[in-house]
Amino acid sequence: MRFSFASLFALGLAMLALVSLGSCAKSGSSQLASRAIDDYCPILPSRTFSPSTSVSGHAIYEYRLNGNGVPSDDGVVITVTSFLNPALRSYSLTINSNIYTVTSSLDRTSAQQDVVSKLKELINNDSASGLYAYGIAQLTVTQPGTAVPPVITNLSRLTITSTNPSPRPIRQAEIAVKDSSGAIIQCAETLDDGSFQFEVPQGSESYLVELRSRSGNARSSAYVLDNPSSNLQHSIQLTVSGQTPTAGLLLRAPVHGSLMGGAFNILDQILKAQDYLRNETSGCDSAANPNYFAGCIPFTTAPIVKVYWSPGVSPGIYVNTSGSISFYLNGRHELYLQGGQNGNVTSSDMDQFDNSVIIHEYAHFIEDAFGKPDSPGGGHNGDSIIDPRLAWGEGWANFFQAAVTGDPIYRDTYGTPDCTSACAGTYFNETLDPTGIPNNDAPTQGALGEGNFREFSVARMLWDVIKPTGGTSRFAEIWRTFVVSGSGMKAANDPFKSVGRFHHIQTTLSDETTWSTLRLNEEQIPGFSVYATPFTKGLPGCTTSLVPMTPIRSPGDNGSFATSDQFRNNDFYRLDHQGGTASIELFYSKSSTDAPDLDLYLYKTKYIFGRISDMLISSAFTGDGCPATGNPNDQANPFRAQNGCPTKPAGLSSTFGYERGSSTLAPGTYMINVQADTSVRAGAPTNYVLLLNGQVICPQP
Amino acid sequence: MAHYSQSSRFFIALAGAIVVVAATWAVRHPADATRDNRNPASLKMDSAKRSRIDQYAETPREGKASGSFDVVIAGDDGQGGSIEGLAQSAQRVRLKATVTAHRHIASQEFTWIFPATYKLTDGAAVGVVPELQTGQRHELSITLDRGTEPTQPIVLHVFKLVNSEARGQIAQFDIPAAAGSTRDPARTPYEIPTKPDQPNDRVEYVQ
Repeated sequence: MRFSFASLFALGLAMLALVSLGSCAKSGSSQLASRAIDDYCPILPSRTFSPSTSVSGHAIYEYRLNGNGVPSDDGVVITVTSFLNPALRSYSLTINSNIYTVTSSLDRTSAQQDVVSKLKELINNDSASGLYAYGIAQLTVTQPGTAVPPVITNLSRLTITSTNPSPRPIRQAEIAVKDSSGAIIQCAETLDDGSFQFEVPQGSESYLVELRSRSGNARSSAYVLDNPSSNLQHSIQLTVSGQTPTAGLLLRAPVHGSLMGGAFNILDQILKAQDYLRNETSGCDSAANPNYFAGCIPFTTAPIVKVYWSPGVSPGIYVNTSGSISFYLNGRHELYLQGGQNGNVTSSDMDQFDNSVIIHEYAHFIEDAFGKPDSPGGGHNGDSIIDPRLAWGEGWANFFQAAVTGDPIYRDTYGTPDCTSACAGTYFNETLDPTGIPNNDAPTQGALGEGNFREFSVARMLWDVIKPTGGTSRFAEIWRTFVVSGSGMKAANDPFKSVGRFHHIQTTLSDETTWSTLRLNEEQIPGFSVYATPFTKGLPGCTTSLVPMTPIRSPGDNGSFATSDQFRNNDFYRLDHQGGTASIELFYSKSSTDAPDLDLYLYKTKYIFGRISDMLISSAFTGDGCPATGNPNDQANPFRAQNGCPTKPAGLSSTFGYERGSSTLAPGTYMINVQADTSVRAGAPTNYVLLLNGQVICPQP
Repeated sequence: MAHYSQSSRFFIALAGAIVVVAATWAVRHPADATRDNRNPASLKMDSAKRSRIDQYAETPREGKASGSFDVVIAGDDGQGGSIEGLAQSAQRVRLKATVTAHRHIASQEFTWIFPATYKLTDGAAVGVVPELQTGQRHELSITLDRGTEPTQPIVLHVFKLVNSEARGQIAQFDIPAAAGSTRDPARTPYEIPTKPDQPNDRVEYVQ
């Protein structure tokens, strides 16, 4: 076979085309087409027509009490009495003048479930009744088409035990009215009592009334959408006639079936959060106002947040994660809420009625929009020492949900009462106002600074500031630390924000209230002595600086970064670098009988602790001891000079460890991390000295 | 003009094509100048240290607060190992659940929740998980015969009653849906579309 230059070059071009196509395909898969979000209903305020036909009604949503409890559906709960005598196993009741009768061949618990099952089937198959029944051991009968409970009389061997709470009004929600071509001819929004009113053109045409899970006005700005690709709002739809006026139109979002009650509960919780912010910061810039704190800027409106939620869907599918997950995406104003698991909306984790979780996630958005967060995100179990940036973000969010709801409980539930076996429970039902030692995230008494690393500790401290009884200040003072011009959390030149920074800002603003007792109660410390500690070098008086560290090996510490105690076994130093070479050396006293093992890392600004791609320097050798007297083939030998053995600074013991590394840095801010590796042992207490470009650095907490 | 053999021509042309492809690739994939701290890293560590990091890198980075223990269900290969899923056609469903304590936990109750039409052939549907110390694991296993019944989720509830309310974890195992079955579009996995107009936007999952 012969090839000409031209044909071979053409072959090359073909290969190029193939590669390019492949590249395009890959690019396409990572950027799935995303349908544009529908414009908010454009005809506001509502228009008038002449001649017109009026439409008015009421919009309500059902929710579950305490996240996974009984539905607020005006349901009437009925208990079945079982009998051993077969002659007594006939059951009947009258609902809105319809009579339903069943018999059972069973007794005891089996009879109860059998009767409930048979009555359910009978009632739900009676399509003309307008009733809906559900339950396992007890029967609940609802009347979804009306806003009142069904009337139940003439019960035989059945007893009404309770009536469920009523639904809540759907507030400040968008209404779009469409003609037969699908064009929007009218818009409206529900009022705070759920009512709405508008006109349609008088005539023979019918119109579709669409109540949408979105708010876009001065009171609230949130879109509850199905998923990030189709970007569709959830809705309830009914048809009205243009011929005769419609009054009392009921738009009801249920807990069962479509589960649309979930979408509208999410929308309502966000409205509640925005109302709270507006009320609590109102007048905070006015000296005569009780909310006044110098420099405070009142909250008015928030940017639109997109909330992605669908029944039966775990948002883990969007990020290739299995299991339950609700999260906020920093910088994108997108919030993702758990709606179940692979279609399971009975015995799975769902957050649509977990108001703590909804407002917690919204708090991340508020911090994103008004406070410039630095949280790296990541896993946290609510009862451990974690990255202080994460602890601040999570603690703030745990607190904010309590502030908005007025209830100092963080409650995250799973399951429903609708399971055949008990499946409803709570992940957390944590009080932020405990009596005695808290259940979660209690800092060790006397370990000042540990609270800076614990999320629920941060949340409790903030709740103590504003709690109705015994609170030391108002929410407006907390808000001021976010928004105050020049020095607030948003403006501060600090890429490592933690509660230490928050306290630092609070204590330096004028008219501040005293939080020192609150901080001490939670073992929190203002400033930077335990995280992002600044330092000097080359200044008079900074010739040597021994930093003590007492490593510990706690139960569960397997030596990994995930289990490394970031408070006790790690020190973090903020490095503001002008650019160029950074050569860092770590010397530390190393007992020859109980050798500790310190390592040295330099992280990028936005780092995740332990993520190798975020490390610019790592010097981490097990055998870094000097003088080098050990067996070089012994990996666990702590006295093998991996980095050489230069002259140690004054003050260290005669046997010492040595780590060093260097990197060429762009101008910016970095984090130096000295870490005790506790994989093998904690080792004896030690002192260390850090050198930057040959000069000792002196921490300035 | 110099004369080249056929094979030389081939390799010269191929090399040229590779250069063109490489150059085009470089143009299409420029170094992200806006990404911070793109500097040569000085990473020195021995293998033992590296394993600490690798272990951590496998830890899920996203998700809501997990509570004091985790429950994960996997298919059981019957030889002590786990398998990601089960064949859709599998009539016998053998599952293994691992309970991992993040801190010391008292003993817990457990309940497997599965359709009444599935038969329990091995293991216990209810029972007790013993007290676990931090980092300790406990395994539960169960075998169900679903015959020709349709696939439905199998759920494990591990809990302790606190003030008459269950406090714990719930986990789910899904047998793959039948081939060709339609799925609700709302339940079709989507990726979060990236936004190229936010060059510094690193996806961070904040629970």
